[in-house]
Amino acid sequence: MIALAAVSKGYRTHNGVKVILRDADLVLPRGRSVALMGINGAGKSTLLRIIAGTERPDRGRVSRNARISWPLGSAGGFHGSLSGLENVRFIARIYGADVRRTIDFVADFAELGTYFDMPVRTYSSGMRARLAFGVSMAIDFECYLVDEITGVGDASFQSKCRAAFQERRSRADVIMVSHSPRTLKSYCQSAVLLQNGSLSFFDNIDDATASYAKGLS
Amino acid sequence: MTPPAHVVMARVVLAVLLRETRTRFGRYQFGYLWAFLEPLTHVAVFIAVFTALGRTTPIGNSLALFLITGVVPWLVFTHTVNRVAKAVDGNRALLMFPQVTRIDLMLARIILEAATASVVFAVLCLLVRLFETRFTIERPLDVVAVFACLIVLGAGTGIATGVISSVFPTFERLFAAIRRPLYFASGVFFIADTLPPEARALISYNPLAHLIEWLRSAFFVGFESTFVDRRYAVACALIAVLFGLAAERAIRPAEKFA
Repeated sequence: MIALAAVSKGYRTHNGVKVILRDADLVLPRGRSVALMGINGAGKSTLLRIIAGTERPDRGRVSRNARISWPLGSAGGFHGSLSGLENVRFIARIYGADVRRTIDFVADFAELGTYFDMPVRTYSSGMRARLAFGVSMAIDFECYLVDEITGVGDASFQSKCRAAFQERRSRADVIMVSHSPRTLKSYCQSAVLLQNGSLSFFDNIDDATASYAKGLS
Repeated sequence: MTPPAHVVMARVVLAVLLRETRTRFGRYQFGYLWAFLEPLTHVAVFIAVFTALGRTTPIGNSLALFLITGVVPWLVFTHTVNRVAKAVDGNRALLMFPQVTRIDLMLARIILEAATASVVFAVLCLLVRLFETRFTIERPLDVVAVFACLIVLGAGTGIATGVISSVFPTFERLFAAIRRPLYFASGVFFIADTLPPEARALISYNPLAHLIEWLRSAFFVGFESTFVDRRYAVACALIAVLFGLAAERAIRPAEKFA
């Protein structure tokens, strides 16, 4: 279970404080995969980082009693001057996973070929995403935080991701940010709507989509 | 479930340490050799200058050893400051992982600098002993204490520099500018007793000068520095690390990841 209690978060910008969350409460039960929805710039990625523990809230408490992944995206987490393999080795170490097995799994899953031994800075964003996705699949998380990476890669890689998640659906959930409603619906049953600093949970993702559409019009 | 916090921290520091070893030495040809070549270059230049001026070592009977006991502590201090100050910037991407903290990144670099310093100093002393002059170290435990102080002083100064530069980016430049004259005021190539009283009073504020004199008093049989104030040196090191950690603590809530 993941719970946010009276969480506030804001950023200082040139024209005042941009509020992401204002005294927001949220309880995410186990066994539900959840889509995070909200307009561009509402702070979906920030919320994902707060859930992960990558970013601290200004006020409030976040409690987690599941093994949660880092926010999987094509952006951070990798050291550009080290190879994909060296980065995988690092991630396996900090999660206490078996280094050899993790490397074998990622080499097979991410399909990077000779690029696996090249510095990550030479990767395309699709390749980075495949690497991030591959490592996270090699480590057994109970909850995967996914920030816009399932949309990358070709159709065959996408179906591979889907199959990998399908296979562990019984023991792992997904919390996902994506701009594609179709992707969200294919992974998630439930949704959280982030609007004006507050969070509302919808058990059924269709209700969230409807409410979101109404808010926009 | 999630393992205890100290286990996670140990894992993270070890993992960062291993990758830092690669990035610190792996990028250039000669890798590890460079750690020895740098102090040797300084020593060689001073030996050339001393010889040209017709001067010999003020203490002991090996000029090389006298210079090594000045150059190595200086480099240990400045490298620790630089590496620790840039620990967070150089590894910002890793903060994406929730269990990786800024302190882990700095601690890994501190450990790596301490290990490198010990190996470099031991090897250079061994080289002198094998190929130049036989010597015995008068108080080996004091030598260890001096290096511990150098690391703590460097770490504290580095943490503080890193934190202050993240708020005022010009601070790093300022510190770099102070460092150059500091080289000449730390006793790298002289002892305080040979200085005029005014200069001696001036460098007595410099904890590095005390640490280098302390090292030489401990190292060379028969040399007791009248200048060294051990308590002042230790106090400076502790104050630096406390100030650095306090500054880090005060800034951190605002930017774990930014």
